Amino acid sequence: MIFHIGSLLLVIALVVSFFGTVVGYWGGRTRSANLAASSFHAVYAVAGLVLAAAVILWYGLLADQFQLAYVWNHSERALPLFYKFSALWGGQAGSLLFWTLLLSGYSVAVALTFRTRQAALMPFVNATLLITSFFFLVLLVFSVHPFEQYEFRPADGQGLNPLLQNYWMVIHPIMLYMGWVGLTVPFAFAVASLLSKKLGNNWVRIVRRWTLIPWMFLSAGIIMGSQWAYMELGWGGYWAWDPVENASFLPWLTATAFLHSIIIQERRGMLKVWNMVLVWLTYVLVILGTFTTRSGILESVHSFAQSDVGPYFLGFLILIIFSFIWLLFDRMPLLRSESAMDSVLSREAAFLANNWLFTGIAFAVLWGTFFPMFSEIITGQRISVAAPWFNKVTGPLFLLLFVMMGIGPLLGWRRTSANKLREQFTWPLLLSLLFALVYWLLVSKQFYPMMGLTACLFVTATIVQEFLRGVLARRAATGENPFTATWQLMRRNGQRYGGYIVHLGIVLIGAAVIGNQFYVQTTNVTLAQGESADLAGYRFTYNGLSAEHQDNRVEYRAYVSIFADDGARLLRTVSPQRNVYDKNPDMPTSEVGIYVLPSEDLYVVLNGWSENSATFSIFVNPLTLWLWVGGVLIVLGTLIALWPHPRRKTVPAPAGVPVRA
Amino acid sequence: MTWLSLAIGLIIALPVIAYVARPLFTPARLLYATDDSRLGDLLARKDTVLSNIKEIEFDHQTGKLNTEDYAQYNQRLRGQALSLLKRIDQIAPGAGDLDTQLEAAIAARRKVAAAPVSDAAAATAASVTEIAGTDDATTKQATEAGGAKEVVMQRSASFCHHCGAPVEPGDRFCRACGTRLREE
Repeated sequence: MIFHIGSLLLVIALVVSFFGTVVGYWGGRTRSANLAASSFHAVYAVAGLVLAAAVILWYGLLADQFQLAYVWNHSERALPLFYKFSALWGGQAGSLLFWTLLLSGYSVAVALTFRTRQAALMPFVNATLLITSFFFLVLLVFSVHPFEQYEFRPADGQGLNPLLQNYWMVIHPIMLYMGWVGLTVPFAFAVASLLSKKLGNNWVRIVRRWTLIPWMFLSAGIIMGSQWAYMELGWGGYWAWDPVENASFLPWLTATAFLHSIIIQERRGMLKVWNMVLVWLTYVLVILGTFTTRSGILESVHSFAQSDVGPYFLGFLILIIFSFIWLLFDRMPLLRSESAMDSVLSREAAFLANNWLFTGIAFAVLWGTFFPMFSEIITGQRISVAAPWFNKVTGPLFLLLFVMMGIGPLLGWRRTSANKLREQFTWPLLLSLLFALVYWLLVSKQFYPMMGLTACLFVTATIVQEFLRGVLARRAATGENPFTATWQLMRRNGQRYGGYIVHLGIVLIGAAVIGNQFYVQTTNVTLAQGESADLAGYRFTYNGLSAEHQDNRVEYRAYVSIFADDGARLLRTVSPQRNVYDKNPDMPTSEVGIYVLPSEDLYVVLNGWSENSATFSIFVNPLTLWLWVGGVLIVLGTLIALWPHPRRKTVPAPAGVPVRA
Repeated sequence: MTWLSLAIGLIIALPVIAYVARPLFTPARLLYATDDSRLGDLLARKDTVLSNIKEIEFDHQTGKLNTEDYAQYNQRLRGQALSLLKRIDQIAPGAGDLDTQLEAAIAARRKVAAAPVSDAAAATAASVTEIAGTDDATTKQATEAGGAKEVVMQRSASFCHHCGAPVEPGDRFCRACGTRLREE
């Protein structure tokens, strides 16, 4: 019976979210405080109802209620408790419920933050968030049915998809969803400012923070997904331009562009229409991403479940695309630029170039992702675009983007004079040229990796220079010691210096990608016990295999010793592993054996085994560690940028000072 | 679905509906007065201008802006800040004491060249720079830079009430935005 109540809760939430949408828009239009207050209550009520429904589904999972179709399909008795908990987002219905839950969470956070401020915007914001909730509730109530029950209670469930039984897979979707779902908030503010015609600087300032938060989660989610792919899928890489990976990457690209171009609007009052378009595109790409993941329209290893949600998504997409375009055109006269570009050698011009590049990359990725679908519709044949195509098209764009990342921060607003240009660029350029020369002569004559790594070094040099100059300026003024000065710099100017830390993280990721793209060494070998294989100056010796039965799986573990210096020095014994799950024996998962060095990862995959030999894929992946370090820096830098400015001291004006000029 | 669970659903639904609909049955109120949003926008623009002042000061210190460009932009922005404050004061007299202080300080600073700096004015200038989010560092620098800048400031003592650009004595229209200037 409790599960009937779960369904009913969703139905009530559906009705309330619709009602809240109506009173929100209506209240904003008529400036009625009563309708606005009702929309706030609707936000809280929907959140409470959806949370209660999620708790009921969690109860079903944790208490092994296999009469529930969802639990039967995605859990089993022997599943470790941790994964029973995470099975909530392991399947279609559950993950849509989870989406709705997170969206309600964000909506409540926004409503509580602004319950006494932004009176003109908030009813519209509530309504826009609620209509998104409404859409997902429509899916939950009419299409996917998380609380569907069987007539009887099966003894045991089917088990969770083995690929999802990994702690990265528990945290990665949460991060990704927190990112995706959170990007609804800036969209809601954009819609609210258009509808209320309050298009001043106000919404821009609010939205920066509310974009940074989901952006941080999305970045972390993407990196964690890569980590999962790298550690669990066992093909030696971390990114395959899989449609679902692209689905998470696309809104990241447009959101990143938005975070940059919004600074120009804040500082110079320019690019207002463009920013609206970016925030809307980001939202559309989020919904499109959920659609592609959930409808199985694009064949992909990630589309675990397929069902009839497609038409609903298509309908909603059409609604948000056309209604927003109409709204934007209607409000166009209110979105005039307040100033014009003064010079090409200005930071706003650099930001603009960066925006074109981000949008260019997003367009290329979008095209590549949907090409199979278009080709199937038009020619009847599904032609997939593979990773090399994506690398070829986006690679040069990313290279340019990196160069811009170095140049942009060194330019001043409005205009940079020739002597200042010289002053800013001499050292980073000299250093980069020297590096390129040395690299060309001593390391490798390949053009792209040389250019790429040189660009990385250039950006790093500019960031170091920026920090040095900032610290020196502070020291000159305050006489603080270098550490305090650095700290204060980040504390008081977090937006800028946090941004530089994020850039540094991106540079590290760039270097790791270049290393993995151009310098991977790999071999496939079958080794008898005690036999060795040599690769990249390391020796890999197979010592034997063990099998161990865990809760719901058998773990086969091979032991491989890695030696350096032609077998003279033992570095580490790694144990690549295969897990064969009782419920899904034909879907063994991989657990790679890995030894991480700052310069490269030694990465061993167990492919198969017989009585006394085993087959391995061995990879030497250069610089991969820095991919994860870069990810950590991105999160850290974003936190610095988000951190509230220290409270400003307010010294009361001494009496007797004339107040008016 | 049993009758019992339907009944329970109803029992849950009723208080939810009551909660959401309750504000509709209270006396009707307006969300905001019309001027309110204009004020909010002006305050937001004022904050932006102040943080822009801070930003170019910092750009100048870290060698991205040369001194002439800096002086020019700085003057323009300070003019804008002043005019915004005046408009804020018109809409909501005393909308925050801080703003009044700031206005006083900027005015005091502009007058410095004419009259010797009084201790009180200097103290206000310092406090205001803090309010503007500028570090004490820049205050010190500004005070040290002293004379030259204030002379520049003094030459065009009035500003366009619309966009804040400096106005020469005798101008009838603003050179930047074309607004007809008020007689002062």
